Amino acid sequence: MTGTNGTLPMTGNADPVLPHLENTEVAAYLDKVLSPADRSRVEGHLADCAECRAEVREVAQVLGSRTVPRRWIVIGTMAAAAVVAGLLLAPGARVRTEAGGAPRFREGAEGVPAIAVVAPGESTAVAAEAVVFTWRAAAAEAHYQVRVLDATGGVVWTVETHDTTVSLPRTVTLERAGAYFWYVDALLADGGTATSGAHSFRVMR
Amino acid sequence: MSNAIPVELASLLEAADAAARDRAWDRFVSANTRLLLHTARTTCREHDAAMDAYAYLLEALRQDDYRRLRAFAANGRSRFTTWLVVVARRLCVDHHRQRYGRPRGDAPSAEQEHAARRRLLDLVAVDLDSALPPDGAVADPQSQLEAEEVHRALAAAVGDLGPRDRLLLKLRFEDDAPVREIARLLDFASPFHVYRRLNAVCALLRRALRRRGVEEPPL
Repeated sequence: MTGTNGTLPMTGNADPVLPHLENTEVAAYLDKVLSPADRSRVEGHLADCAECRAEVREVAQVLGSRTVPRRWIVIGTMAAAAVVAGLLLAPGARVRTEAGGAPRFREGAEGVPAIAVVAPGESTAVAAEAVVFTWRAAAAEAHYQVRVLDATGGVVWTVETHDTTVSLPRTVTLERAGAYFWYVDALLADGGTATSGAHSFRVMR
Repeated sequence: MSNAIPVELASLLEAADAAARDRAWDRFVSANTRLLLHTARTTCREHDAAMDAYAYLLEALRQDDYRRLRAFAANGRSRFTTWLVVVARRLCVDHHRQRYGRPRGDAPSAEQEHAARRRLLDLVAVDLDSALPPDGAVADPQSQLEAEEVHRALAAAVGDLGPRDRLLLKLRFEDDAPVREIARLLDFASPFHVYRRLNAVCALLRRALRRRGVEEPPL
């Protein structure tokens, strides 16, 4: 779409548009990687252009209100099973796999609120035909993402919702007697996040 | 500063076939969906509009074989997340304008600009009482002329400032940006340094106005 790489586009009822900053210039300015001459030129434009100034301020606010990035730990395949069991007891831990099959764990960032799960609880057995995930609301107007993983950390199912309960669709088949994990992340209205941490469950025979 | 390409982006742009591209796209979206949602919600306050904008910008990022993402990979100087927020916000604004038109409040009104000049003049300590009539009163031609002269002199003095100082004044007096925010944007060490620079700029403007024949009133 024209406009998003340089000038802002004209809509049907817009005034003629003056040249605006390129998106790369705005980003480079905010990251303070422009040369002194480019920085001076961009600041000159910002002094004269209310629209670009508003853009810079809003982008800075979005970036400034992000949560702290989480730490990642990569471990060898041989220790995978034991570490999975151990880390699942810690709140905020979850499992992912890399291409080679080695699980990769993400520890929750300090201060990230925990979401309380209702069902299935830790190590609960569930019927394959009726798997329902339920949790307590993190906050009003929160946006949730639910993930179900198999024992190797592979994502079996993921869904986004504003509700606090979701049912596994019939199109997703879980192996009987299989071990699975699930967790829910929340994006809050103020841009903050919350997480339930990974919880295990198993499917009845 | 490194402009390292995130692994999800590299995988997406290097995917060998359609199936690999689809998987890589899912991973890319998963890695960035929070940031994109947050941007959409910041730009479009209403929930439904934000969700529509989010869906629109995902589609736009996929367009033309991920043209926008490839452009960053080729030319990006900044952090990918910074660039992505800029592009995502622009896409959300485009989407909103296509649906609802350009909002009327985009550019500062003449009244807002006048108020901003007035605040700056107050700070520069130029006495406006003799130059401007009280609110609601009709100015005599002489007073009007003097007021216009003051405003012209101030505009010229501000125009002679360097770009950073002009931007500082615009952020402070036209946008009413908090000093803390100005400090972060313009890379001042602290809000205190912002106030110090404002004082210094106002001293420059006072000298410039005096050179142009605009005098402060006797104390």
